[in-house]
Amino acid sequence: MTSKMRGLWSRHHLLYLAVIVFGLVLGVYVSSRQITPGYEYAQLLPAAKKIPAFNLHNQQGNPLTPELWRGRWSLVFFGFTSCPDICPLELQKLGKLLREMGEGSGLQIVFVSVDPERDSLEKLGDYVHFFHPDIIALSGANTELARTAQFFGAAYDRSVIIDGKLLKVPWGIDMPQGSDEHYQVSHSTRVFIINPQGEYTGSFAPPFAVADLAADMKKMLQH
Amino acid sequence: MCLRTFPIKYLSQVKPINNRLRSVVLLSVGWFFLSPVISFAQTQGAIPDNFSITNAWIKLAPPGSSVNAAYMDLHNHALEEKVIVAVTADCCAQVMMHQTRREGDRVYMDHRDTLYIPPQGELQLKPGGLHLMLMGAKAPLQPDDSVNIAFDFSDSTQLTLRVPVKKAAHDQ
Repeated sequence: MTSKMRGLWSRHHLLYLAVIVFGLVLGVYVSSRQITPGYEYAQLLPAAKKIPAFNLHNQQGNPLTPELWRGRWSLVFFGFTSCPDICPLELQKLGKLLREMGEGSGLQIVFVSVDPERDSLEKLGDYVHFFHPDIIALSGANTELARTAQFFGAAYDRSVIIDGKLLKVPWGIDMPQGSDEHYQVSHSTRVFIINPQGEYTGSFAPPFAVADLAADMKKMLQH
Repeated sequence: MCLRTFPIKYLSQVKPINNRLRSVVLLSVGWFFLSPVISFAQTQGAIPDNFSITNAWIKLAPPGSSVNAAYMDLHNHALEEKVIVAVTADCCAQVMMHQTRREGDRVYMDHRDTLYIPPQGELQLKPGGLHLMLMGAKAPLQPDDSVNIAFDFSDSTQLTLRVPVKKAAHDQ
């Protein structure tokens, strides 16, 4: 091999190496953030999942029907009203997002309470109205709430102290007799995205800022 | 005038006074002289040295919520650590010290028995982190309400602070 050929060979290999390294770095970056190319913050599922029927009711007492999801984008957040810190913080952001997107944007926010023992539908209505009058609240029996949360992968459980012993109550189970009003709920703080065809398409992972959500939702609403 | 003998001598000269009235006057005079001493002792033992609290506020809870969170910055200017062992508020049945903890997507609320403020350091109680949880309010807290929150320290000192209720930290 002449010295000229060796030079060409090494230049080509350097180029190949650079392309491979760049591809690897990009791959690692995208997979570590699990961000879907095209969106800054939203993490989309490989395939959208059709939302099944859930036996839940809104704050007016009306049953949830598939029509709720049709023809508009929805963001779904799970929580409970006795949550002093995170739930108000995130709902405040989602209310602000609705205001920022403007009326008639075609975006709706849905809050699902996973604490039916303490959160009556009437109480939920007052609660969500505080953040934005258009936020929809949903609740139902513990078994049905667990089924809903399971579909989205929004794990939660509740823990209560009874007779000095800490008792963990898994999702889907009613709070046991003897529980006082001050039990804790640990829950997912992911915001789930539902497309206008009523399919679960992805989510935003916490922590997030209103501007981040708005930037990606504006892109989605354009498609 | 001799402080120790004044009330007795004085009262012994008041002949027409009956025994009950005499006791009342004796107690009143005694209280007059002792109360400054008692009050001095209370203030001396009660307030922690070199400690201050700034930016304190209580987050207005949405209707339907039975709990409020309180946030603030705790400043320890002393050379030794300060430890808060209990918190009470005149608005509410119970105050708990909580830490919001994120683990992946999930959020947990950890109860804390104490709050440690390092020597010449500070501890921030802020949304999404450490906070006070006010439970069992006698009446729902309204904007412009203010609440007396008392902090008990491990050295038996106590600091009471009047904290306003606001919708957001920057609200006036």
